[in-house]
Amino acid sequence: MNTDLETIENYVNGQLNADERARFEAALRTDPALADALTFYMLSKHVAREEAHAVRKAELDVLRRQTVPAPPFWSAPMRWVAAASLVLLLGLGWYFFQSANGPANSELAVAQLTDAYVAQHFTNLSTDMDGGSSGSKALDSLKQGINLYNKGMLVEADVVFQDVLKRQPDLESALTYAGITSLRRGNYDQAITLFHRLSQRTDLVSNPGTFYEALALLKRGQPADKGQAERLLKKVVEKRLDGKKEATTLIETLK
Amino acid sequence: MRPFSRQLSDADLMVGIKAGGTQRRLYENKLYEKYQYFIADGTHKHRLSEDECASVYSDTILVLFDHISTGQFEGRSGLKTYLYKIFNNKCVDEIRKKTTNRSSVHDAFSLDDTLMQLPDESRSIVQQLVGQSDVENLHRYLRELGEKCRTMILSWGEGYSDDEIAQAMGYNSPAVAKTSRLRCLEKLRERFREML
Repeated sequence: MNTDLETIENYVNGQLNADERARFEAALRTDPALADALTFYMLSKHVAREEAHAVRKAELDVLRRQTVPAPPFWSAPMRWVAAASLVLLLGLGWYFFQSANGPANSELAVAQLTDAYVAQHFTNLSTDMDGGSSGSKALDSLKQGINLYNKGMLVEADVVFQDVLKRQPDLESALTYAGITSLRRGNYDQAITLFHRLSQRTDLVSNPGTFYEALALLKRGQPADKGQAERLLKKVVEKRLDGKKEATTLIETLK
Repeated sequence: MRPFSRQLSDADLMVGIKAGGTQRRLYENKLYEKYQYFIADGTHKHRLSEDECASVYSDTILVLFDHISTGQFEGRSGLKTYLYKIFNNKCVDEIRKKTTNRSSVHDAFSLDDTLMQLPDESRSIVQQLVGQSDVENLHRYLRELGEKCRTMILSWGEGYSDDEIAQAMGYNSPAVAKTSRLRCLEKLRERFREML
């Protein structure tokens, strides 16, 4: 019996038809290789789940250390506080109404703004790019990478951009495109590193590196990332770097 | 944060978690924060340390995320009641573990839960073989996989669909993400076999 993992997965997920399922189960009784394959699949799923939860638990622990828990509003002592505050709340009713109609959650609003920016600016890369003084080989490679990127072949585009960076580690356009590709692929650690390297280039007339690094931090969304992104966005505004307008909106939303 | 910004309701949080995608984590974090005061309650009621209670609370909330996203929590009781019940049981279990040196009977996710997906006969075959498997090494090999493969397999373990994995990791389609994920799993199997 075929022991490929796709067949195993289809069995576990109930995607085999009745005949296939019966044949699979009959083979499972007599074929040790199939039993081993199914055991490996189930164990891997369990181990992956445990590992994922260990990572998530560590993230939540960092979150806890960074936030002050809100007390339960209707616990006994808070009932008295609520009663005493009623007049004040009524007096501030209008303000409350206004605020309640604003973004229900600043982080969600920031996530939406970030996603919108990525969708608007990074869905396609402009083919009208500047290869600088890098020479024609790098320029050709970058154009090839952009074409792959615009066809949605992000893995292949990433390989091309990374290859250019191996040869010319400080090439501005390669850092930008490789960073954007990493961001789109969800490889936020790499995107942050690349955009940070771009931001360190002080010889450029226009440099979106700091703004892009902030976007990548917001996308990664680890507990410490929000504060770091906010600092970078403030730097973008103060130093009038590329992305100043969007940075201002994001800072307002983060408040 | 605005002084009067509205806290998301339990219903909003559940919809956000169930919707999945890239924003699932944000809603999960909001839910974690909303009932984080359980930790302080637990330290008073059960006389556990803050770190012990925080660990129990994280285990509790991870179970809840799982129950929400898989539909196991059907909303027959309030979310807070459901959460508190699990939290309370886990606190009691933690105390028992401390006083009797017994390992937890309320592990966040047991292997038996995973195997429950299988029909009885298949499950008993797998259960016999699981006993002979080196689970610790499988954990190690998974950690040693390349970052991309590890991320994919962990996302799968966390219940993300191939569609969500494709979106998060920039694959062209769920089918491409599935092929890549199974290839990563195959790498893990080869490594596991080498050591047998």
